[in-house]
Amino acid sequence: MSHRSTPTFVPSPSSKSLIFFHRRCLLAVLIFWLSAHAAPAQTNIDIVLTQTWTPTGISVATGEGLTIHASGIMNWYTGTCPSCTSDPNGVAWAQCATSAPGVVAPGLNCWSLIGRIGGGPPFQVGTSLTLAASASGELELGVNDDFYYDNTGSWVATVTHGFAIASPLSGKVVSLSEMSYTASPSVTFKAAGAAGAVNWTAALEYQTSGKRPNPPFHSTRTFKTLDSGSENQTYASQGGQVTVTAKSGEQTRTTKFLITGAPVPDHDITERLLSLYSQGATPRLMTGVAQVESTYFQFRGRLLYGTSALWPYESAEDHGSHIGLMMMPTKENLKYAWDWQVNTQAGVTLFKAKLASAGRLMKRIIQMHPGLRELTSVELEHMALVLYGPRASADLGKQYYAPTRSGNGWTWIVNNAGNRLGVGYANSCFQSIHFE
Amino acid sequence: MPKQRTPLIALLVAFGILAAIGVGFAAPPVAGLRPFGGRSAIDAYLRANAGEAYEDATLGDYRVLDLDNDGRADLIATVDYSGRRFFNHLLVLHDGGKRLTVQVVDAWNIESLDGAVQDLNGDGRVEILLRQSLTPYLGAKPMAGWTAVFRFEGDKLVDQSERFPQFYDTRILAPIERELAVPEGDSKAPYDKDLLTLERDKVLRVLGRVPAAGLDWALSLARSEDPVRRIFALSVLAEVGGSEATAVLKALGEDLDPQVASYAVVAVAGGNARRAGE
Repeated sequence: MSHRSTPTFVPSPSSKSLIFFHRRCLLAVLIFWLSAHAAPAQTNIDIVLTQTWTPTGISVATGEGLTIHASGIMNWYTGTCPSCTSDPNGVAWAQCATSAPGVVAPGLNCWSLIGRIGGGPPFQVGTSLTLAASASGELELGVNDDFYYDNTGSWVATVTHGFAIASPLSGKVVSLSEMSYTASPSVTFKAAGAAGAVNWTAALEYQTSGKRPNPPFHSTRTFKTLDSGSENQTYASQGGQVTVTAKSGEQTRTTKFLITGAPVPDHDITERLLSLYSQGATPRLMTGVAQVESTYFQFRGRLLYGTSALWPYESAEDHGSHIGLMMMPTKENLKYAWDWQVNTQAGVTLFKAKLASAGRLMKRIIQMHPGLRELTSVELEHMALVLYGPRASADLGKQYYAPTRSGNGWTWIVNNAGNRLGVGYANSCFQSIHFE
Repeated sequence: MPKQRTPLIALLVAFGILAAIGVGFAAPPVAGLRPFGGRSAIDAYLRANAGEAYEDATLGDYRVLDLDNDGRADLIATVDYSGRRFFNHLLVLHDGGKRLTVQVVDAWNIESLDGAVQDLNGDGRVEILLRQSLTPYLGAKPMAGWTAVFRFEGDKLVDQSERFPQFYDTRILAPIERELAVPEGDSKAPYDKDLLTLERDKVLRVLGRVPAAGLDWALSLARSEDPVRRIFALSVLAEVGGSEATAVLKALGEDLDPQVASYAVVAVAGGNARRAGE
């Protein structure tokens, strides 16, 4: 073990002569400024892999913030098993409990970096941990092993103590699992090592993988906590990456966490779409639209903000011009991406408006073709689907139905010639209806 | 649209734009010229002059330019009729002096006209590059497209893609071939190579180099277990035609996947309707 460096500022003011009075004043100001702007103390520790605990020489007080980052590779079965290596995250307890039952901290990852304060109970450290000290005393870091003599390699830990964000942890992932999959559980904001007020800023940002919209959606909230107090916040109808900044006096700390989607059950989606269009001629029609548009997904697994998780389902062609169950335009409303109920409501409302447009277009066509009958309500739904889809057109010759001569009068035919893709879209929506 | 309408040039003069820019419209195209007043003026102009073509429409991007070098300003604008920002049509308002003509050109997903107005052959007249869909819309799933070259001929924009082989060789086919040469495992997304192949084959057909380009590949895609690939196949089969393609299309009309079946049925019916019309 070696303590590589613990930089501390030790003022050494001169006081031998009044001549230096002004210099001393300046120095005092400098000392005050430096202490106010001082970075938190940081210490690098070489972990001794062949013993249980490595003292760090760092004394912490209860409630003080600690951030530990560790890296390196250890072979824990040197000479017998070259591939038996691990980084400070070690191996999950469930996978090693039988092979290493005698580790010093059963239940924590085997061959992982662990810690304790003042000789208290061990806690998992792994490659990264931020916590508020639950006790006072010296921090020790160690290896959760049962045989130490065969350990080789190198682990290095960097310990930062002082003011820190204890929660949310960097990289934490919160999903919209509450309120029918539209809201997050409560997220706790808590600082460690703070004296007095802590001013928080939580800036949420969301942009699809195709950088839509540009600039991204932003939503920022600010609040205060006192000393070691905490604040709970819930996120509803929004998600993305949240950059958290905590400021105590002149000290500022930043971390980031993610709000992702949650799987919305098919049954809930169907119930929702049925309720929104219960008065329609084909009450289940919106389930077919959602199936065609999104295969019934508001969120799907993909990589965004460096994290593979459930993110709003984006149109593949352009990486996000349209989004969610009804593939609504992303740039119009952040909620289209994050609130499946808002997304479906908007889609159905738009479709109803298209039904009205279809009725107007039908009347116009009938006016131009005397004797042509009115379309049924189901036929109007077909026409409205073309208007809702990407092949919508104002051209009377590009609607789902077109007039054609029949004897001395007129009749309607499906307009395959005028708008083949529009007709195909409408038909596939009808044929994709969910019946359960 | 034979009705006399307010010429766009009058609108611009009213705003003093000609004085402001000091450019004669007889000069080469003034692509990118934006009238004083911006979007709201264009929106009002379209409402006043585009008639039914701008009913229930949302304005996307636009350019004021001289399409035919007659010294009068014309307008092109992308519009959405769905209410979902699918900018799949280009409105063309051509000021012919005595009358204003309105044309609607099908396109695909043109949010921006940046780079769409170019003089590809250096003859001093603009060409309009418009993205077109090659495969049906499948919601969030991928779809293929290609870029067509339009040019003002007579009194309207006409697809003149086949007249620009150099453009396709250097700016479309060469990059596609480079991408297709990358080993399969390095592909970014599962359909990337399919989409590039569809676009390449379409260009080869348009240029008349390989009239049935992609047919064999489409026949094999039609047997794919992936319905998205079967839909890719039916797009090629419907365009290339022929007895074998038609037989496979009819079979796809019975596909268990509702989207495959729907688009195959309309492809067959659309082909029949076109032939009947001819």
